Amino acid sequence: MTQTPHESKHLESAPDIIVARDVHKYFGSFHALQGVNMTVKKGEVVVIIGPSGSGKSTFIRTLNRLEPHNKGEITIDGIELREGSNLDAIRREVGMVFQSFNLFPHLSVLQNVALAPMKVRKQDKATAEKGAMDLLERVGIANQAAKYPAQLSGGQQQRVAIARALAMQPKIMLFDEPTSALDPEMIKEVLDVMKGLARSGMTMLCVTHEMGFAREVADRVVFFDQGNIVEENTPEGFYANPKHERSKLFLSQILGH
Amino acid sequence: MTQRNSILQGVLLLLFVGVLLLVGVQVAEGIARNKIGVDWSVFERKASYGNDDVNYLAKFFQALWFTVRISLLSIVLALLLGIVVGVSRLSSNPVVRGVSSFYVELFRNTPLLIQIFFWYFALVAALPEGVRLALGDALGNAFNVPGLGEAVIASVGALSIYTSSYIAETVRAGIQSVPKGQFEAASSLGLSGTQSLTQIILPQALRVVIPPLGNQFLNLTKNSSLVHAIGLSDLFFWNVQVQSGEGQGVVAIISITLGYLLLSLTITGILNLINGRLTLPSR
Amino acid sequence: MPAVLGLTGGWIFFQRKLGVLALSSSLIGVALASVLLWPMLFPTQIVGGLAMSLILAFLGIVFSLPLGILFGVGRTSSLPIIRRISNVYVEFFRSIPFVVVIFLFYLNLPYVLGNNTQFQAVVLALVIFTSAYVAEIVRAGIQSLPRGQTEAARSLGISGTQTMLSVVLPQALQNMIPPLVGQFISLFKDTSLTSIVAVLELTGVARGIQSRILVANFEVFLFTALLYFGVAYGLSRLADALEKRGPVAR
Ligand SMILES: Nc1ncnc2c1ncn2[C@@H]1O[C@H](COP(=O)(O)OP(=O)(O)O)[C@@H](O)[C@H]1O
Ligand SMILES: [Mg+2]
Repeated sequence: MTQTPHESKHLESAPDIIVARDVHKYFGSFHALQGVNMTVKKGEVVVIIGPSGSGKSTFIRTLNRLEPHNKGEITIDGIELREGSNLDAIRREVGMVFQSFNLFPHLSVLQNVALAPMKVRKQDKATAEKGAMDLLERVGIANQAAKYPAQLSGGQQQRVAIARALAMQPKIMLFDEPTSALDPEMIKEVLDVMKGLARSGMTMLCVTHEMGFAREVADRVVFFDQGNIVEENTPEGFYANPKHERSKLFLSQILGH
Repeated sequence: MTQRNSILQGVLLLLFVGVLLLVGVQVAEGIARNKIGVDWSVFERKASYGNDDVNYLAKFFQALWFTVRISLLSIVLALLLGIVVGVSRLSSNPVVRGVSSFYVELFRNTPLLIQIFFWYFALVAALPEGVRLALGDALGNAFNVPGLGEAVIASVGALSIYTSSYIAETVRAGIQSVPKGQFEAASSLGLSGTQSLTQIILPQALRVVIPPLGNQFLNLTKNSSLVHAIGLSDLFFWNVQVQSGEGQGVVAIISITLGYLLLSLTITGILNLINGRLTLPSR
Repeated sequence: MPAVLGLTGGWIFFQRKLGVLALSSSLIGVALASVLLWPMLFPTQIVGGLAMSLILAFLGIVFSLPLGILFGVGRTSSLPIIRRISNVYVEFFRSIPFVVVIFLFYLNLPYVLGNNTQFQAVVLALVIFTSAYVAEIVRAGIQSLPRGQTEAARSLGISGTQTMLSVVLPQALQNMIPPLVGQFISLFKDTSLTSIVAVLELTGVARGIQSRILVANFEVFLFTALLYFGVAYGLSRLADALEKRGPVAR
């Protein structure tokens, strides 16, 4: 294992919260994940990067079984993901934020955040909305609570999506290119929320090409190519001198030289 | 599949079958109580209508064949009319556009049965004597219903015009579905107007048009069951004869249901084949 | 309304037979329209032809909604038996003509429902038949939603049933309103087929008049057609307006 954890976090002593062993995924005959192995410690922040089509989304979607894997083992907080396991229970522990926000357009911002606590945790409306307001406060858009998603900017929508996921008090947060659909001036407001979350000790897996974010808060960078992990490194190590040829090539492409 | 799901499915299946059985048993009892009897040998009896000396089995196939033929003729006419009207709706000439819109709205928003009666009782009668007799004779003979030629004119007229108003909408939507950028891209590549139309626009429009068009063919075939109301001996007419003339309503309705299912499934099968060929690969 | 129709009809009549006084045919028009609209021709009838057509269509669409939603959702189910039952139901009723269903129910259902239940049987035929089409509208409404909606809900741990009830259906139903109005228009026109089993709705009354007086066929069916057209066209404008307002914003 190549990880060099942040000193302040004491990750060595933390328990494993995600264990993926030899994970394979096929779309028809297409082999999208080719035996991925990854272990994530509680409180760890992992950034996943890699070229388009390399299987990044597919991998993190197998972690809450939006895509069932075909072979291998995935264990989330001690519970193995497989046919018949209590999916809803696992999904409560794992929050997800999508590139395209996927807010519910027929519900107000507040209702978007309060829906799952009410339907899943069976909270009464007042409690759920109180919790929702607190979270909206935390992501900085409490004043937009009564609006509908279509009335918000992309950056605001994505912050609502983060609040919505946090409302289930997940132990793990998955982010799939949360800033790729955003205009540059909105990227920062979303990244700031994510950084705050990272510093609060949340376990995070983020597919993102934001180098600043990775350098500032990630414990580890994982590079995907052609359905598998090609390199794992510290952020500093990965961006300064990548070990693998394909990582070098990829970095030179995204950095534009 | 979790165990809970399997149980749920089993319960629902039982419920569905249960309801079907319950209704079936009650109907069967009612039929027995009223001494109607279900006698499949009715097919061997000599038909009490028509002047050819054949049994109901032969009549059934004649009727099926009649339904097929009148549907086919009407489909061809409906398609031709529909394309003309559909293209006219996009015309730059406001009069052409207005007239074709009026045509579509008028015929789509009036029941087909009323249109059939209108044709039969009013329009055909208003045709010039010579045309009416000549066309009536020709169609009556072509469809093996001598003397009922006027009903054939009315049926084909009503079916094809009614359906053409739907086809016109389909055609219009198909042409409009091709983004303007496609015209622009084609002409900026140096393709001529006709080339753009035949190489770029129509192949794309067709993909959009063919599924709903197929649906219209299906609808027309089902709608042809209304021509019995003006005395034409199609499948439904056969059903009415066997029900009222021989008292075998159950046999009659089961038989024509199967007949129409056969026609619909055949059309659907052909359409699926065509759609399969036309679908562009995508994720 | 009858007066307007009368005048229009009179004008057409005038065009057709130049020389006949437009006024007199306007009077025919008014008389006809009244007979078509009010229950004056048939003593057993309690409402007029047009009212009967509207009542039939209304009953048909209202009661077909729950069934249609059930089978429409069933067609998108991940449970194969439920999906298959729903598919068979929908495909069966979409493959046979409406008159066949009406005839089938009219003749056989009174055995289940009891004596003198022909009217209920016809209404049930409208409901069952329409629900197959409503199911298609529901399925299309559900499947036109972006997949991300279900994924977002499921990733929050919301159950499949809850996702359907509080995320998918509310949006799908809103998108389904214009096609449902369209279905109501179809059904309204299709109520004319119940005249084949002697229900006295608009077409039945028109045929009654026509077969009694045997003259003025043109006027009888023209006026009937115009009455249908008025309602159907008006509703189709409404559907267009609803559609223009667009699906739920996202
Ligand atoms: N639902 C799907 N059906 C078929 N192929 C898919 C599907 N989802 C992803 N793929 C394929 O799997 C590969 C990996 O996709 P993805 O995980 O989305 O890549 P990334 O997120 O790294 O860009 C791609 O080649 C993509 O085309
Ligand atoms: Mg991706």
